[in-house]
Amino acid sequence: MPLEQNKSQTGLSEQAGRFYFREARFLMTLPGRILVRTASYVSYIVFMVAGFVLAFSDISQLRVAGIFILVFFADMIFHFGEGDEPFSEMSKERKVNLARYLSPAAYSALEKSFDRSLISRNNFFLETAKELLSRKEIKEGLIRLDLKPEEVGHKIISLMASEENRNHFDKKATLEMAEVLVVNAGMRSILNNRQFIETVDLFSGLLFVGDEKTDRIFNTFSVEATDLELAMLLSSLKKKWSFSLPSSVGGFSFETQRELRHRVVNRAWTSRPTPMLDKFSKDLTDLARENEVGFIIGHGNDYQRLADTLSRPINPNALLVGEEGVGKETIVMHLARQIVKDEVPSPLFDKRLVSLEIASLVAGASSEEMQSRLKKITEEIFMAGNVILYIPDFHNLVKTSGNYYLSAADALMPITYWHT
Amino acid sequence: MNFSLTYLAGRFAYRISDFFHHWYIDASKVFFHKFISFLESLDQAIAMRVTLKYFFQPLFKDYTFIGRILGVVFRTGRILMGLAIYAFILAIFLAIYALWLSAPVIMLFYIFYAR
Repeated sequence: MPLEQNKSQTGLSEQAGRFYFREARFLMTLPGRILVRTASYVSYIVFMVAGFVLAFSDISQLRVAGIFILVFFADMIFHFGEGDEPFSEMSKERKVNLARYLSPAAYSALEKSFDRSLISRNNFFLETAKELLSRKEIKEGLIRLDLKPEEVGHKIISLMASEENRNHFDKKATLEMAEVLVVNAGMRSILNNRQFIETVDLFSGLLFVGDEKTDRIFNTFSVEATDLELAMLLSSLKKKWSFSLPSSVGGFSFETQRELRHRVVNRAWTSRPTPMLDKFSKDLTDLARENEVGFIIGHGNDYQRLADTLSRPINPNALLVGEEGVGKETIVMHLARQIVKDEVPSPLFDKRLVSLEIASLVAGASSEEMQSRLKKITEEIFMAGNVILYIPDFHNLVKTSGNYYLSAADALMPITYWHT
Repeated sequence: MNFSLTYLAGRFAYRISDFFHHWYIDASKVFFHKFISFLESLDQAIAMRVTLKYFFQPLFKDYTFIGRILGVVFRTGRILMGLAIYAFILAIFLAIYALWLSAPVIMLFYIFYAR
């Protein structure tokens, strides 16, 4: 199971003993908790009003004090939705209280479930599942798994309603259950490189708490741990990063409206312009520079092999073979992105990755015209010295051949011999 | 009740310390990260590293004697211009960073000690 492999690779199973969950508010009585919440809200309102009033005071010292209070609140708004401490600042040796890493949304879901569980004496995990199911990101995650959130909700309610499954836990037992859930959610969160424990981690964590009734929900809908985790991960990514991922990641970001800037000559000023090649090709490094292409999931080894092959001094040619949709072009696009980021071996540094458009190359051209275009393109590539030529659907290149003239494949052959 | 009040006092102290943690530690990380990212993106245009690496290469594959001379001349100009731009940006960055670090201290000093 990949998740288990991940767990052992990161050494989390050994680390799990370091984690615990202790939150003072959960130890308070209900009136005490209401007092804390009311006092917090009232003090926020009082301070904010004081900040605004003081900011417009005639006395300069009070005015500065008002501005300082407003800056303080601006910082709070900027960090809205974050827990007390991010996982990036977590101690590597000491025992870790995961209560500090809970996002406010996850904390609120836990607190509500905790209260309901104490009042109704229902299973805490079922209460948490029910509470989380009302959250948008959890619903979206379930829809990604082709599940109807309402049906999952009905199943939870039916399990809670059945007399045989009603448990009578005291506060101590419920606290222990909360700790089990938070520790599992925390480990999921760390595995997914998140900074705080989010509601999606709590939901994924429910799969690992080892509770019979909770397992029954997931078994009824045949939900696998890895599928659920991936669906929740995508759901939370969509929520958080909709503006910054490349537009090639379908459904996550908006198309760039700017016009594409074409860099004619390389940064080292050693190459030459390639007007004919530009006419019949698409510069992938231009697209990568505009964040249009290059995002990749997996294919790490394939990409590395491609980069190594293209970097070797002799015969730096690569042929990517595979079924349609396996990700050949994605690997090439990723190479363009890495070139732009200067994260490639030195032979590929400052190169242009250009995709030849065979359809436009052969469109409306006589055999002589096509040969002349290819000759010119080949010359330009030789002269420029910084072009990596990508020919998609390479098999189509051979189809451009006729009885009395060379095929495009033959015409481009000198490029493949260049370094040999 | 006492427990709740102690908790509230602790949270108040935490909020204050969290503000300064954000202001000084987190913001410093963001400042330097943004600065380095900005220099990296700027190097896509100014290309100091690349220019140094290809300092004696002629421009645009012009391997004539004049071409080689012009290469060195233009690349020297490019490096000098790049250095000036980097120095200017570094000065602006340091000024903004110093202002950022001193802002809360100045404000607090002004609130409590100004006459």
